[in-house]
Amino acid sequence: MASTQTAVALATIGAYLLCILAIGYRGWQVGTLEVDDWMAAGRDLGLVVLLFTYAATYHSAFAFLGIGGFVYGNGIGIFGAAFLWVVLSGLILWVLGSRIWLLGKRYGHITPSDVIGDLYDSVLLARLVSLTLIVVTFPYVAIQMIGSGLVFETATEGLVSFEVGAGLLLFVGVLYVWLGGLRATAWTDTIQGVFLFGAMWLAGWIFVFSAYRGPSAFWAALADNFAAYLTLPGPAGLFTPAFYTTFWFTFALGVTMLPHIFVRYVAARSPRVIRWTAAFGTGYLVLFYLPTAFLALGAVAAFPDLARPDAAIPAVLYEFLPVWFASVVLAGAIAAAMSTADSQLHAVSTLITRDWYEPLAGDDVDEETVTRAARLLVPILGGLSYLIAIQQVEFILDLAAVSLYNAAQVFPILVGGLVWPRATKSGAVTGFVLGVVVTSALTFGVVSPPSFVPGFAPGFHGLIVNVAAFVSVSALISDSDRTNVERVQTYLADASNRSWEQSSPDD
Amino acid sequence: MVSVSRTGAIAGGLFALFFVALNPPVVTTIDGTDPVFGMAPLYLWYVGWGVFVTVVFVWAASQNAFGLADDQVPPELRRSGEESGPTDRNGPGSH
Repeated sequence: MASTQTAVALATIGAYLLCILAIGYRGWQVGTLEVDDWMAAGRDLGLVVLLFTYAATYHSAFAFLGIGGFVYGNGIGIFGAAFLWVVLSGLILWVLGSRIWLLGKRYGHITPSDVIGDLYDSVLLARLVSLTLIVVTFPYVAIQMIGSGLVFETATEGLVSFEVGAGLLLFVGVLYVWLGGLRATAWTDTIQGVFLFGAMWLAGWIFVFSAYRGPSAFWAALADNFAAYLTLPGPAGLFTPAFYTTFWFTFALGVTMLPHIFVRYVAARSPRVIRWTAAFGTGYLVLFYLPTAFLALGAVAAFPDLARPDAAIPAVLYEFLPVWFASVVLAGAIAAAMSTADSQLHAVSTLITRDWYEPLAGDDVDEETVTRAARLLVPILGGLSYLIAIQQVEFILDLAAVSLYNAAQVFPILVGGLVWPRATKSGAVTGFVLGVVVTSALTFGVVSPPSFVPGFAPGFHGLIVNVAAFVSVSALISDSDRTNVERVQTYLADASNRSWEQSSPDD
Repeated sequence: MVSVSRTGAIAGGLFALFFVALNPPVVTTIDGTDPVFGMAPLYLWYVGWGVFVTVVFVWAASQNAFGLADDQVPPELRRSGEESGPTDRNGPGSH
């Protein structure tokens, strides 16, 4: 017979999944089979929905579980890095995202490869960017499944195995993405975003008052016994100045270029919605992290020898909080994982459809057929990601870093093409390819940086090579046809200057 | 890509302050462990700057410090009912 903990966990997660399915079904009812509708929610998301879908998609299983494991091994230095990367991401969302929105509205772009392919008039570059983003997003989807499977198994005391839990949550996610596309995903994200924020804040504060009689006693106890966790570079010495700075910087650029975040730039109703989403979304993401420190460091004090660091927060919840409440909070962790995984499945199916299926299908294919193809891809991609997930990798963050470091290589060539008049296709292709090759080689240990180079994050080495190659090749080799770069840059400049107000009717 | 305005420059300066405060060498000087106001010094440092940057972000958004404003969207791309009027040019954030 199932214990109280297992029964409560199953009831809470079951109710949560039913609620999510109902919202997803509603998204399907109001949606259409037009490409813009399924892939970009009709470019009509308002502030509340965009805010929560941005924040919930941004905060994945890492925010609930991975960060617990990271603090467990490396102390609270990660919070400073996290604040830095969410703020830079917010600024990119505002400044770059609103310009991407404008170009998307004018030229029909949805994905990063749409923009870059148009900007440099290069099918090759668009395909390279698309392929890279597809490849790096797969393990990222798997990260979410690992997180949700881990939570399910912990919450049900092993009654529901990791594999079954991850599979069930994947099935539900696939169903509502398949049905309602980005609109259903964004609506469910809204519920998930509210849920996971409330769960984390309640859990953190209840824990610190019930186990330590308040934050003062909590921090004093840690200072006495685990002082290395409260300063930089942390107990394992990871956060050296060179690594810390390059890690958060590369992380921020990578997140903003991942397709599931990027597609939200074009899904907004207006630049005003993007601006306020950037402001409030950043506030949400910063505030979310504050109580996580209590739970993660609580695990350091209570369970110094955990076999799986990623289980630090669940272990604290079940040790110090009422079972029913711990189960409710862990459903919040599932919400965090699902809200990212569904967006990633949607984004990757969109990438494959836009960049690979549509060119192959030719001009005769209608919008309904394209949308049906994108929907069909969702369960296929989900299945592939599940196979990756059940390989069970120890540290969630390591996997995330592989994805983010390579996604960050898109940023220089995108921004360069939007602001630098001398940007060329040759430079962009060279920079991007070298950036990805260097990042991958360093991440997987194929080569090591020379000993005189500071201990940068691997993706940062890639960014240096990327930018150097992009700038030097663009400066040395001038493309004969730079029509598109000039067209896009002129369009953005005209918008900034409100050029239509100076134009006479005869122009 | 970003028109420089007075509010944009101020907001940019405040954001720069945040980035400096949370990066080495500044952040690495916060190395004590005895609680300050009941919190670990590094955690308190993070909380303080986190609240600071949130307030700056909301203020910068209210001033539309970095564009793009809705009245900078070409008229043909605006949704019906969002055409700019005479008041749109009174200042950022007028929508």
